[in-house]
Amino acid sequence: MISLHDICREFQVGDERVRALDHLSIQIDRGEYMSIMGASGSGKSTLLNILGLLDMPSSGSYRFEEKELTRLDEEECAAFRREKIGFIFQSFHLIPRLSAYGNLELPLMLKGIPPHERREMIVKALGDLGLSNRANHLPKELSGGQQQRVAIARAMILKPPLLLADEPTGNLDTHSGREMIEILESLGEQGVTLLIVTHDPQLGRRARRQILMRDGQIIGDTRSVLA
Amino acid sequence: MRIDDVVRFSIKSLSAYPARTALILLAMVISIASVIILTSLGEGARLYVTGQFRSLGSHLLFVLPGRTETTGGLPPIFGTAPHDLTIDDSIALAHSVLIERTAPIVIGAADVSYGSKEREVTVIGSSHNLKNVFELKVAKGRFLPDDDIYRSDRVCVLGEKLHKELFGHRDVVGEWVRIGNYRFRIIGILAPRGASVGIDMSDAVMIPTPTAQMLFDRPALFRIIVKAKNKQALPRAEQEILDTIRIRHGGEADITIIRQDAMISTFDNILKTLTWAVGAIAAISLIVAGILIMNVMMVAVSQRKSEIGLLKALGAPTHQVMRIFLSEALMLSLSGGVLGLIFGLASVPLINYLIPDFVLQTPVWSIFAALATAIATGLIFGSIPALKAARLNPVTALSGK
Repeated sequence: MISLHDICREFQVGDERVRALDHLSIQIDRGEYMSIMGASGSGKSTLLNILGLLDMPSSGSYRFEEKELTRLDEEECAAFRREKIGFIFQSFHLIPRLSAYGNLELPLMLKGIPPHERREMIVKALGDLGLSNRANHLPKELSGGQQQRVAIARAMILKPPLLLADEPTGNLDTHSGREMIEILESLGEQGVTLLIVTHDPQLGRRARRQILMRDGQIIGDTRSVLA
Repeated sequence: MRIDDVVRFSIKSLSAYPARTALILLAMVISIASVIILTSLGEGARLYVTGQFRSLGSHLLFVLPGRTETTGGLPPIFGTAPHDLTIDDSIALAHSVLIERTAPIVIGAADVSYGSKEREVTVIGSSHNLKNVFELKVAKGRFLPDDDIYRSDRVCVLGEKLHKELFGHRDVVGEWVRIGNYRFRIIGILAPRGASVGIDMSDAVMIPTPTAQMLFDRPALFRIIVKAKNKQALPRAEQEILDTIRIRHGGEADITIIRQDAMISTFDNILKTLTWAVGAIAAISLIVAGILIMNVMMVAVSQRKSEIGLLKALGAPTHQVMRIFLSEALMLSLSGGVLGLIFGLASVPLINYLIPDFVLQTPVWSIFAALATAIATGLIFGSIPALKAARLNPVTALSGK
């Protein structure tokens, strides 16, 4: 489904050019469950951002379902993110003044779905994650685990084929973290391509495919080992 | 994103910071209300002044002796001319079919005394026609006699204010009063009629023209007031006056004619400009309110960086983010504008109630202008922060740095 070829991403930091991704190439198949691990600064977040079209590579090619994405303009990138990608963040990124319902409504509003159609989708999404009785709660009235579940529901409400999670358990206690992983894995079982960036080796090792990064390059890929 | 969604989203954002929103609204309300109140003041002044001119009577022409060419310099308000205007001129002008009647005017100041009270008063020498020409009303007695215009009777008509100051509320018709060195019999007292532009009739004493000429030892008229038959007759009447005077003054039309409607329109223009000017001054406060909006929106963009990042991650294109922030600014300025409009329009009758002498009048254009500037303020000062928000890099925005 995804093919990155010879991707470089350079940043200007002061007088220095820092290469966050260094001629990186990778293939990701539909329905894969993959973890990306590595030390801070190894480039794993940059890779995730590029996969999510939040960032553009300095050079190289990014093909998604046979479509070259590096030449998309701003508008097309936004549409791509809207249709194809769900994001899950370490700090949840729920809008504090909106209820759980309101937060779930955001992607639907951005897509221009009329209000009467939204209701059903939101109620179902909340129900799927056991949040039915939390619809009108503000994020600050929810526990960390509940907040992250709202965030997952929001990421998945438009059923994108690719789910990108950046340290999804980083702000959660062990119990909520394990719960979160189980939810993500069940999504994986439903055919969603799942990419998790994590520091946590325990979490990373659960993935069927594990990638290890250092200095902007992939230094370990369990698929190549197994293959 | 649908418009109603943008609006709802903006309302939620604005209500999340009630104190800040209320303060900006207050600034907008004060700005818009002051635009409304100040333009109402200007418009009130305009209507007051033009109304005063109209109250002098309709379709009048003022014939002044001398011309700019013969007196040099400014129009000859007190100019001298080779030929004096005379009572005969005044009578001659009245012969025209275009002219309803004429009133000669001699003006001067003299001491008027009654008993131990004495003060200097404007003395107007004129004829019975003045009553009709200036649409004066007599409260007691009668106006100047309608018989022989050349007769110098020692009779006078008192303005209402003068009467009150000298005699209080006593009916003094038939009594005697001293004007200059002569004794005059009071034959009438004018009815009150507000202030008047030009000559304040209520604070003047009116006597027959020849008597005034004698009193001031001045054979010339100060001016002749001509009342045309109707408005359409004005231009031709003007020409005819010039022709008549030319014949009578040895081939030279040494007079200046001022049309009342020209005077009205001059004042009208001056005061319209004034209204615009005070409106513009009030609009400066709108700019201040606009800068306030911009400042607050800038802070909001900084505070809501991660939200902007999230919106972008969820697939909001640049123009969408821009629309969201612009709509917040617009909503602030528009609701401030509407509240200010209500506040301003409500305070106009209140001011009128508190200061009944002077009637404020809100010009319709100022309502639209105020709303339009409010919207423009929101758009202009909202677009810079909105652009800043829209251009945020999603990765850095999400990190909240």
